[in-house]
Amino acid sequence: MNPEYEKQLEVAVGRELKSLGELEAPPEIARRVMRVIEQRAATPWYRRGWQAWPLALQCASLAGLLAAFALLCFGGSQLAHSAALTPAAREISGWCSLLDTIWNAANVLANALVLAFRNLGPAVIIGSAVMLLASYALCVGLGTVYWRLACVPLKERQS
Amino acid sequence: MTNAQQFETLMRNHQNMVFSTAMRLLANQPDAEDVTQETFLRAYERFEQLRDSPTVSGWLKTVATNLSLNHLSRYRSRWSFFSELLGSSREENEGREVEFPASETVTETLDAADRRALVEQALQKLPAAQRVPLVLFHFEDLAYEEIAAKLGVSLGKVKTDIFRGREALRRQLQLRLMDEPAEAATST
Repeated sequence: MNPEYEKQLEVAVGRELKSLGELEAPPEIARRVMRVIEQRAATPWYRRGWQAWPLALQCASLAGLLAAFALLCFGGSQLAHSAALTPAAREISGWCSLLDTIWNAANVLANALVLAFRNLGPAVIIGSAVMLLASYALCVGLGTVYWRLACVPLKERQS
Repeated sequence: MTNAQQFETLMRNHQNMVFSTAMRLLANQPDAEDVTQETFLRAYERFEQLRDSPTVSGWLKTVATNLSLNHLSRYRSRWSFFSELLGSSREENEGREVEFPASETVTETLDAADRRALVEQALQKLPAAQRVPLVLFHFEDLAYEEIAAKLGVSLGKVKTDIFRGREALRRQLQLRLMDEPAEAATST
């Protein structure tokens, strides 16, 4: 390429393009936008996406869902261990084995946490949590330094 | 003035800028209208922060640019491929795609408004692979490196595509340069 020619070309084309100014937007765009905004405002919260729900309802629905799931796991666990089962109930209890497993795993985890709190004491637990967070922050920091010092200059050299 | 009225005022003040950004990147009016609408709907969601912000214009332009590029990204692999494969032989064909006044005297005697319409038309007829980096360079004032990063293509490809786009515009608009080498059209 001829750098002098390229420069002239850039200037000449740039001058033509800069002279264009703004295009006129079709007048109905503003009306369209306002209509959509009105429609969205008129839509009740339960017909919007979950992200658009009020915060209190988001929290309540999340808690409700978690409680329902816990209840399902508990029910499944009880059903799997029930002694007197009809053939139909026995078949259903087979499907519930996964829920039983989840319930047992959650129980074990909760018991382990309670035991740890009782035996280690809150100071050790809080210290461990702080160390865990500090380690995470250190990893993120080291990763950022590595990216800025090593990867970005390499990308710039390649380009 | 209610919230909705304030937003409508903001929209009317910036709609031409947002629409121009989308239209020049997409070269398709219905798509540009959709992007403009989506840009303002996003602005409405953050209207509390944008209302008194001095950077609202820049924010709108960035969102319109990004939405337009997202829209185009569906076709990006296709146009990158064609741009690299066909090279300069394509631009000669592209030069014939646009219907422009044939004689130099006609383009010289056009008034300013007609001339702008001609440039706008020539820009919109460029293939996306050339038009998009050209628009980002000349209208958004992005550097070659920033364009390459935004489009996810190499710096060399951006430079080549912009050069080809300028060459196509020069031929279509019959721009005369002082230093015009014979190999210019094929030097990429």
